[in-house]
Amino acid sequence: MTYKLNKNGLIRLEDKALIPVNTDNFDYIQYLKWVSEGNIPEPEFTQEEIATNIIAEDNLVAKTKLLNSDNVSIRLIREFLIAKFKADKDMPQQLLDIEAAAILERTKIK
Amino acid sequence: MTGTLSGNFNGNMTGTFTGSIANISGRNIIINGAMEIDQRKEGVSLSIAADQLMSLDRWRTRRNGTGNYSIIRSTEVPAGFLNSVLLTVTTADASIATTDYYALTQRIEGTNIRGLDFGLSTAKSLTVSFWVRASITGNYSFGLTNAAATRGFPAQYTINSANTWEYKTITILGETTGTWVTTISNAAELWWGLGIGTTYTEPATGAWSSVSNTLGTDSSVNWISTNAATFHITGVQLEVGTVATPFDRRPFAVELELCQRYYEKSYNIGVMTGSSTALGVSTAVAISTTSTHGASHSFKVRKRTTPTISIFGHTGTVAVWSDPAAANTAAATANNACETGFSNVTSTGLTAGVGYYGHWAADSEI
Repeated sequence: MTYKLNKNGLIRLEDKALIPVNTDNFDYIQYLKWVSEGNIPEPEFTQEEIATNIIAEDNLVAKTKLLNSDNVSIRLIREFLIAKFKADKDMPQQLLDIEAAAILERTKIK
Repeated sequence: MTGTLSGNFNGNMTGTFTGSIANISGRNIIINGAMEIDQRKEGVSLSIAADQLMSLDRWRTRRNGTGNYSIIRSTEVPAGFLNSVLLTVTTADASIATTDYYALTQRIEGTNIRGLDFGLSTAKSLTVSFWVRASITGNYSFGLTNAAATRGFPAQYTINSANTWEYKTITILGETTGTWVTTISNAAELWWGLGIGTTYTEPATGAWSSVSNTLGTDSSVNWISTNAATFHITGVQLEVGTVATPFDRRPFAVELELCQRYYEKSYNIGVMTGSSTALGVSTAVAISTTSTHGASHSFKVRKRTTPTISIFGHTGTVAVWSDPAAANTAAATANNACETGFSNVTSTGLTAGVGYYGHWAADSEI
């Protein structure tokens, strides 16, 4: 058997079972015996998992910034196109419908 | 005549008790002595190539040596029983080392020996009775030890005819010394020896041994030494007193609940743990790649202590959850386990908005 530390106890890696830190639990007693034989459990997170978690957090921050930037840029582009088409008096019907729907939705926002 | 009887009875009642002690239930300290409950394997064979593996509920296999055997619930029975347990040698150990042992055992929780007064001058004698059938005749080893194995009662019983059901009884003297646990922990272990090295045996003198780790008796059959040897046992009863009474057959539902104090699963009875089935699954909805809502589970029976929790996908894969079509599968381990249930499942690789199926098994065996 091999084990990995977990915030709720131990994970037995062979079957991913959660073993509680409880000296009345048979599996935990077996774990203590395993440790007493000189074995060491894996840490809760490996260096690779720590690195993966950092990357995931960085990605989340980047995604949020990108989403905000995209929202701003999309709004600016839309406003530019509307202004241009209105000036040209040649605004496509589809864009007119979308703009009308957007105006309607804006009126619902308190 | 109808009416209401009221008042106080202050007299003496005399008469003859016409019942039988055999009709009084609750005598048997052994759980699943009729070998009917097999939640883990449900009649599927388990190969014993390591020590302390569990198959039928409450029954523990012991193995320290190079020999291997299998264990399975069997329908080969004596009259009055539906099941027995069958052990079969798959790899013989022809030369048992002094520290080897092979046995079928059951551990007794301390709360179930309260009242026996073991360790006190008022200790009560016990009698163990069982039906046994083996392919090899001779004197077989039996032992009872306390949890620390500092006290042991070595005994023997004889199988006279091969492949024939025989009824055996052994009386165990009340033990007035030693430390006997009366809490939820292991108090005692009963050993039906199938080959025990001399380090762990003492003569069967009908008395308790103070030699540590006395698990059985000298000069007993080394059943494990013969390839394909078989050993059946059922109707196991351990009771107070020096007389073996008829088997205490408890209702199946009661026996199952006694077993579930030590092991419970989400699957139906009759379905092996880890099977591919959606019947009995718990469900949860993923709200992100790592979080779910709804993954909370209560046990039917409070566990002896906080159990070990295993998770299975409904397709039978260990440690995953899946959506009903098994198109989305995510790694899963239990969270926040306690005596009454567990409250969450830690998972990675979820798909938000997807519902996940999962089975579980909770093990608090001693």
